[in-house]
Amino acid sequence: MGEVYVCVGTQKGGFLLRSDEGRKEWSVEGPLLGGWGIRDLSLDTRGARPVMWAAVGHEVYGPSVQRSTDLGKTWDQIEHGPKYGADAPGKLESVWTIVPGRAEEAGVLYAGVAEAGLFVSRDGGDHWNELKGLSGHPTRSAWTPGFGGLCCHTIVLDPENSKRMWVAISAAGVFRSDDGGETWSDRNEGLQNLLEAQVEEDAGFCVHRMVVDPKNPDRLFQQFHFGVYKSENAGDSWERIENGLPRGNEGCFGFPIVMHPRDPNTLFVIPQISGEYRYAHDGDLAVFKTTDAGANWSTRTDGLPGGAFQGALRQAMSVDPLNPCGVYFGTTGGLLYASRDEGETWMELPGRYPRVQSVNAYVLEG
Amino acid sequence: MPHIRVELPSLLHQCVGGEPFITVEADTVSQAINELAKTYPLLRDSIFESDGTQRRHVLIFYNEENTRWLEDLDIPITDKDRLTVVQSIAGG
Repeated sequence: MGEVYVCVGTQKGGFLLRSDEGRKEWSVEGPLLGGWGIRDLSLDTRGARPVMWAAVGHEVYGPSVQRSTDLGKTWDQIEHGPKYGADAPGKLESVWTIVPGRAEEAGVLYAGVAEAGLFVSRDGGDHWNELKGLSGHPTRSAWTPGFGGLCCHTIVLDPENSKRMWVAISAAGVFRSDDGGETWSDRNEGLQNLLEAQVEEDAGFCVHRMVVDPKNPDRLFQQFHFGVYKSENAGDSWERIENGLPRGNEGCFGFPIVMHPRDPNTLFVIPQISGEYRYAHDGDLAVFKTTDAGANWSTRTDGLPGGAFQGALRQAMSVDPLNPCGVYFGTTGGLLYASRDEGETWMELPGRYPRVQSVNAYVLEG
Repeated sequence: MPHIRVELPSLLHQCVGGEPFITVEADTVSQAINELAKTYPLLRDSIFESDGTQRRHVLIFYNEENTRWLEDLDIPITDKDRLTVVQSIAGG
């Protein structure tokens, strides 16, 4: 029997919610690293015991990477964390996400940061090195920050090809490496450019979140600033998949997109009105679900509130691996919701939190 | 050489092993701040940008004086002096 862990990063600390596999009763621990802005709170479950990682960006004290080997009770701030060299084109403002490497890549972790760049650790997080091919990309001078800054917020690893990975940068676009992160190519054909002036530079594409089909890594999905898109060719080109999704004046605006753990045709998004409003249409929180790889979407609101003028940020949605899978999301208003039946019905999780910036769900064997 | 006590905001206690106060040995305020950064690299990264400039919203007080406003930090110190690191954001 496993235990379900939901790691929640907020603007003022992290929280850990636990339940048994029934997912009806939850306990809450925290704040972990209280007062710190936690962009991402995640678990590396590859080793004998889980390692918790916090990607920190604090308005006053800046960025850091923190590690806990006792599920958040105590923390170790990494001394040799991500740092730009003097010749870097940007300044390190915040760590946005920490992603463990593939199962066979023991000790490898990746960190996406703002201003946009990617770092890798090959020694379990003690030391981090910049992958300069990304931050020094030829289009770098045309990258402009989104509302959340110029951030590398999403790191996607190809589960079959150890040399291939993708990152998403707001508001620059999707980049793919086919050589383990040394060199990168922009992969934004078919996406709507955010700033007309940058069309020729192939930058200015505001990708919000991206996932890969683990059974067919040529297939990617993304929630983009102006809509939801799919690629069937590893990001070489993108097509809209919005049948059934609500559209505001900027298309189907939203941030998170997550994939079912076993059925890659099933995905979930949380549409918002637009970049101007950044809350649910009519204040009715709604999750939209597709079971046919984005050909059709339909809404799920059972258990979700009306009168909730909130949104969900890009990293604030996750799934667990159980059957039926659990789906979780947190809101900009500090509420957490969970579904125990693959998004069909929802329940509010206990607690009122600061602005929720990340949600990651896991099942650990007892 | 005199010892100067340095008081830290609670969020930064973890940078120095969980202590609210630390002591550094220095002859001047300038030396004390440099010693602070040299001895405690995690504290250095929280107080200073990577180019060595003090973070915009961090203040270091020498007794009652904001060091940002002092023209010269080569001020001799005594064991009775103190440095206080504070977060400068105020108000709502």
